[in-house]
Amino acid sequence: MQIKNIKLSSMSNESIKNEIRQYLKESIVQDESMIIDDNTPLISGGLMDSISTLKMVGYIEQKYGIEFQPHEVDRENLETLELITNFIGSKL
Amino acid sequence: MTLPDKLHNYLETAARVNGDKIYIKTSSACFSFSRVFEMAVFLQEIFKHNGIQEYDRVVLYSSKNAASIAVMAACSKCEALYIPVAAANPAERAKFIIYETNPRFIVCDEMTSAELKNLSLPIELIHATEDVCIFKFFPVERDVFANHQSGFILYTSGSTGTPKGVLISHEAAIAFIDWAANEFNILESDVLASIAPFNFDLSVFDIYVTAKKSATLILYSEEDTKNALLMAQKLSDDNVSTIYATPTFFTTLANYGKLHKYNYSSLRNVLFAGEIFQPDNFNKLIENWPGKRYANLYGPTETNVCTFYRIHNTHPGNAMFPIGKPCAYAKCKLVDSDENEIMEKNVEGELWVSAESLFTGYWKDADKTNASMRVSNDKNIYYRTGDIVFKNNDDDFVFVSRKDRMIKKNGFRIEPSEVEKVITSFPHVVHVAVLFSKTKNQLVCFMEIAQDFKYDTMQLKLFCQKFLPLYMVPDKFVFLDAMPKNTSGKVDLQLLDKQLQ
Repeated sequence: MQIKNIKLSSMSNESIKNEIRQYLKESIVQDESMIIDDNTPLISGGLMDSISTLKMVGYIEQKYGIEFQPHEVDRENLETLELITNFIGSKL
Repeated sequence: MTLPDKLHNYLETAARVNGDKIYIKTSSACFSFSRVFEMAVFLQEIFKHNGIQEYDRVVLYSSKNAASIAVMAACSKCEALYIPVAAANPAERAKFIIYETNPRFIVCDEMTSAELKNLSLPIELIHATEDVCIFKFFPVERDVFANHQSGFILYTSGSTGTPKGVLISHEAAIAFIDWAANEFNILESDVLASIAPFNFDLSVFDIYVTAKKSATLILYSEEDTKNALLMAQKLSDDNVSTIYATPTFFTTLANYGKLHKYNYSSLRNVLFAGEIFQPDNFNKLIENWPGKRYANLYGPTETNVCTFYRIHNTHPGNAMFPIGKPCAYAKCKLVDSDENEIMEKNVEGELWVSAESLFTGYWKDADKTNASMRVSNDKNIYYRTGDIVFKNNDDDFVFVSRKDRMIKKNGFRIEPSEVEKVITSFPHVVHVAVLFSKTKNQLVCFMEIAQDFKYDTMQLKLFCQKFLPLYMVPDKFVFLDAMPKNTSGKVDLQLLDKQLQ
C-alpha cells in the first residue's frame, strides 16, 4: 500500500490521461491518426465495445494497481477519457 | 405424456401445477408462473378487444422483461405471430421490420415507445403501464398472406441487404424444446440464465425449457450481459445452474470475469452455440469450472439446433470442436457442388438439414425460401445451411467454413451486404466492401469516397448506429482512392480479403 501511494502521487492527472489516450489508440482503436479528445464518447460513439472496455479495465487495473468493482464497469465511469481519468484518480 | 401443441401450453401447465413457483426473476422483481399466466390472459383480452385475428403479427420491441414473455404467450393463445426486436436495435431497423411484417400491434417498454413515437408511424396507443405499452398499427392495407401459420418470426441479417424474417412454427419450436429439456436433464430445481436477447434463437431454450420444467429463469439485461465482471458475480449469487450462450460470452467471462473469486457449485450445464469456441479459450473456462456438463450446439436460426457435441475435458491442441451428431429430430447429409450426397469420411461438402425443428420459410419471400430448400429423393425437405463441413472418423461433423460471405462475429450473424447497403446510402460514397478480419476479430469497411470529400471514423460509426445494431457497425474504416476491381468489373473482394488477413 505504502509503495503504491508513493509511486502514484508523482503521477499527474494529465499524464494518466495521456497514457490512456495512447493505449486507446494503440490497442483499442488501432489507429494512431485517430483524434481522441477528453470528451470523445468512447462507448456510445462505438469506439469501444464491451470486450475492448473490459480489456481496458484490465489494463488500468494492472497499470495503476487499482481494482474495479463489477458495477463500476459502466458508462458513468468509462464513457470519456475525462471520466476514466477522474475515476482512476478517485481510486488512487 | 402428450406434447403441447402450442407454445403457451408450457406456461399454462406450469401455472396450473406449480403456480406459486418463481418463473421469472429480474434485478428488481420476481414473477410466479401464475402471475405471468395472468398477465398473458390480460394481454390476450386487450388484443381480442382491439380486433386481433388469427395469423396477425405483433412486433415486440422491448428490453427483456416478464411482460414480454407474457406477450409471447398471449400471441400464442390468439394464434398470432410475435416478432421480438431487442431494444438495442436502432429505431430505424425496428421500423423496417414493422413495415415488413405489417403487425396489428406493436408492444414496447417505456424506453422503446419513446423511440417509436419519433418514427411518425401510423399508430395509436391503446394501453400503457411501466413495462408494456401497446400500440395499434394502422397500415395502408391489411394484407392477407397465404402462409397460415402461427408461431414467431426471428429477424436475422439478410444477404440482399435488408434483414430477413425466419418464420418458426409452434411445432418446430416444440420439437427443439422437448428434446433440449430432456437431453440436458433440466429439472424443477434448475435456475437458467437468460443471456441472449429475445430475437436470438438461444432465447427459445431459455424461455420455454424453463416453463416446460417449471424451473426458474433469470433475465439479465443486455447492459449486464456485456459486463463480464458483473456477470461472474451474478451467475454465482443467483445460483445459476444452466447457461446457454455464445462462446464469446464465455470467453469474455473466462478472460475478464475473475471467475476464481466466486463459487459456482450450483452450475451444471454449460451450453454454447452460434460460433466456433477457440479451444484455448474453452480450456480457460473449464479450468475455472471443472466437472460441469459442456456441449457445443450447432444450427442456424432456420433449423435451430440440429447437431450437438458433448465435451468432457480440456481440449488438446488446435483442433476445433466438432459440431457433432444430429439431434434425435434431425437428419443431416453432406453434398458436393453438384448436390450429390457425400458418403465418405473426411471429405468436405455443404451440410443439408432435414428436421422437425425446420423453419417454415422466410417472411414474405417465397423465392428465397424455395432457393434455400431442396426436396431430396427420400421426400424429405432439406435446408441448405451454406456451411462447409466434413465427417470425421468418429462420425462427428466438423465445421470448416462458409459457402457465402456470411460473417460470424461474437456469435452474431452478419451479412456484409446489409452493412454495405447502409453505408452506400451515405452521401458521396462511391463503393463499399465490408470484410472480416479473423485475426483481429474486426469488421472492416473499405470505402471509396467522391473526391474532395472526407469522412472521419467517428462520423461513420454514428451514422451506422442509426440504422444497424452495434454488432454490425464496422470496427475500422479504410479509405481507398479507388476500389480494386476484378475482370468482370466487380469489387475484388478476394484481393481485399488477402490484404486484410
